[in-house]
Amino acid sequence: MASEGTARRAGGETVTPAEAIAELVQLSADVRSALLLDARGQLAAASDAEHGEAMRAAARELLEHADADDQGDHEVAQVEVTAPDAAVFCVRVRGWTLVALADRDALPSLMFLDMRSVLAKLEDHARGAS
Amino acid sequence: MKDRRSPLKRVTGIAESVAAGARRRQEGRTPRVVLYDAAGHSRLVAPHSASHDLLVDAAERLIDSSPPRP
Repeated sequence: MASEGTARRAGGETVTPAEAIAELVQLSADVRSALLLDARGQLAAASDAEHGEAMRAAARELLEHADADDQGDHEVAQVEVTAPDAAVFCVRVRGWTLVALADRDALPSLMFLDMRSVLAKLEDHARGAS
Repeated sequence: MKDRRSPLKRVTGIAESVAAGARRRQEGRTPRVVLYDAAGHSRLVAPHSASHDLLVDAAERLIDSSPPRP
């Protein structure tokens, strides 16, 4: 993994990005795979190490297209793509980008809730941006 | 109650129902892209626009690069 950062629980307990990914997969039965990117867009953790790098490249491409489509001056904060066979969700918070691949029928509102709940436990990573 | 429509109208009605169902299923399978800003405001990307196609292509590459389903 490219990043050795840590995540922090509200009570002060720290977890690694890998543990945060594991928590998301455990939290949501609809999640098939998940990955976490740091502020530089590098892979911090993935539910499947073998496919993590290929998924990271595709996720970054997706986010670049989302930002290009956005008419505002800011980055897109969340992306939801429902394809015929699966759904992709991305959430950006404080330098972290959490990407989840889920079943097509996953409810977006619940997916974003679970993803934000995991991201809330990560410490601020914005200072890692280049 | 007995259906008093002519056989031709009944057949036409059934065909229309089948076609409408197929149309609904097709619409349900059309890829959908929604972008959200930091305030949580959502925006549906126009289906079949160039941007929509780029985003769906990238999402499908991500799906294709994921582990196969058990």
